[in-house]
Amino acid sequence: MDTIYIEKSVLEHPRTKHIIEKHKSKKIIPCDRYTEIFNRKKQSFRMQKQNPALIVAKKENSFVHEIPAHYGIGGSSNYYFSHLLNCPFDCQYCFLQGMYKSANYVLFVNYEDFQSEILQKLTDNSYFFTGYDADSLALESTTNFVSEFLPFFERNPNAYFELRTKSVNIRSLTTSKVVPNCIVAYTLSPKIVSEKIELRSPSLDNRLNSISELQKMGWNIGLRFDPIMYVEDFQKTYSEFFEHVFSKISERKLHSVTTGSFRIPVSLFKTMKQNVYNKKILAYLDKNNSNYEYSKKLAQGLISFCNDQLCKYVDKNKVFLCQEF
Amino acid sequence: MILIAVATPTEARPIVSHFRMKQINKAPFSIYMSSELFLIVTNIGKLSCISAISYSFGKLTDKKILGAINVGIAGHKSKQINEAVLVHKLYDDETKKTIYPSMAIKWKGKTDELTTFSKPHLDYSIDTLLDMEGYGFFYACLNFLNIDVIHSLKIISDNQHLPANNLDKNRVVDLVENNIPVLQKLIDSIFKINSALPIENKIEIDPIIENVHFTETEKIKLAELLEKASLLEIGYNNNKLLELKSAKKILNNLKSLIENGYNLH
Repeated sequence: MDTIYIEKSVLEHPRTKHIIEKHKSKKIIPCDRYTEIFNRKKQSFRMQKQNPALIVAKKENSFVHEIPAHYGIGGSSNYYFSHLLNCPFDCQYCFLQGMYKSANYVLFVNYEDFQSEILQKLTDNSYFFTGYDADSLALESTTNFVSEFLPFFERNPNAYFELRTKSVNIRSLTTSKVVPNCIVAYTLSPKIVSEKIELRSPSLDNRLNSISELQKMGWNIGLRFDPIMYVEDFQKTYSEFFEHVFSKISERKLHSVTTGSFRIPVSLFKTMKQNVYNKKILAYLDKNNSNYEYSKKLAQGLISFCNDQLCKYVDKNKVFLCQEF
Repeated sequence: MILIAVATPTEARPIVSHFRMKQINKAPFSIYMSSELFLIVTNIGKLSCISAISYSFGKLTDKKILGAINVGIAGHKSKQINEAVLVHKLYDDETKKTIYPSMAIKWKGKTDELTTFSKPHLDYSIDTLLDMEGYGFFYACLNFLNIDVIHSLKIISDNQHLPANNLDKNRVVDLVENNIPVLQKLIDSIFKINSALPIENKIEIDPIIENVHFTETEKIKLAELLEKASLLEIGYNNNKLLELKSAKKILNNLKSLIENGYNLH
């Protein structure tokens, strides 16, 4: 990241000043609205992925979005919010390759506005998920997102806050007291998937080490086996994978486990296909109503196998399928 | 191939000489080429630059253009003469519009804003680079290329202490020649960023559609299935497919081959 664009309206914002201070050697370019750079036509996501810029901006509206119940993990109501768009990792299955014209990061620094809307929607047992449009932890040293939202959710203990991540940048958690209604949810895949498909991401074992460290401190941990990827020798690969995972992680201290097979919304598929290096993973997918996904027979077979395997290690009441058939 | 646009023959001369380019066109625009570069002398001014860029892309229909660079001298209120500066923001004084070039290439050198004027602007009152082509160059190139491969490199030729009325041709040649290494780095960066793009799968459907009638929709489906089979390393034989003699049977056969090509175990 060599370049930081900053909306003029947030140049004097305290979080912006922290970012400028932290990144003194970078080019700072003021702009009027982040959309001038992020939303313009004729951009190459794949080229920008080589050296993304950071765009510091203010979000004006639509801070918190409701998500369908089948994506939930037992909450009475489920929402997601995105303080950050785009991710430093380069997972070949990631829908972001089809979602945004630009690979530049957009950081919305007006966290208080997100928190206001969360308070309006918050009820008992409601869940607020992060890490859909970005990794929740990877850019923490720039965003201070976790450092600022943990105390907020600690003050609101009747709601849950999920941090979805692959990052081993867990310092903001290891130096904080445990917040009981926070779930640190790691996306995990077998080693062969992690190495060939989850490019630029921490290795499986490094993620497992982070999870283990957090579990020992008492953090709620979620395991997200999503997307489950079809690979040759699938059953052997995934059975060995689960055995390895649960040799490192305590089931007793798990909050939840979710599964879902690889799927991409139809509206994102064509653009994603242009940006993906590993086109083979897309070749297994067929168009089915609103998604490109594995055939129903294959998807159900993959999920069923994984669920059977997981139930050897985890109480089945903790396992949720985040996919509709 | 990379397109280079310069406003005057004087600015072109050291570039043509260094990269050993040959003249291939004299009118309406002088054009020079090497194996990797296409240089056009656009003449001074935004409108002329826009015409020249459109003319260039019309000439280059059989070539893959990987990027475009506008190189030239520019004034600045306070910057040092001879400094080379990559433009990170363009403002058009006439239309009041702004373009932000992409900074996706890894660039360690200096960058600054550029204001493009319709007439020579010699009072050095604003603190940006000053020229007469840059915005037009970007505006035109964006019809043909994505923004991540379009750049403007300006060489400071005059400032408030040494105004433009002191500039002569020999000085301009020296300024451009001194900054050829910077231009080379920019050219290399554009080639490099292009190499990050995924390789496209070229699928040949002609051997099949030349012998069996396919509707346009069926041709698209055929290409999709052949690409899938190729990616999944599922073998198929064109002759055996052709024996089926109908588009529908060929498509169904391919679908079965693919579905049977992988299984849960």
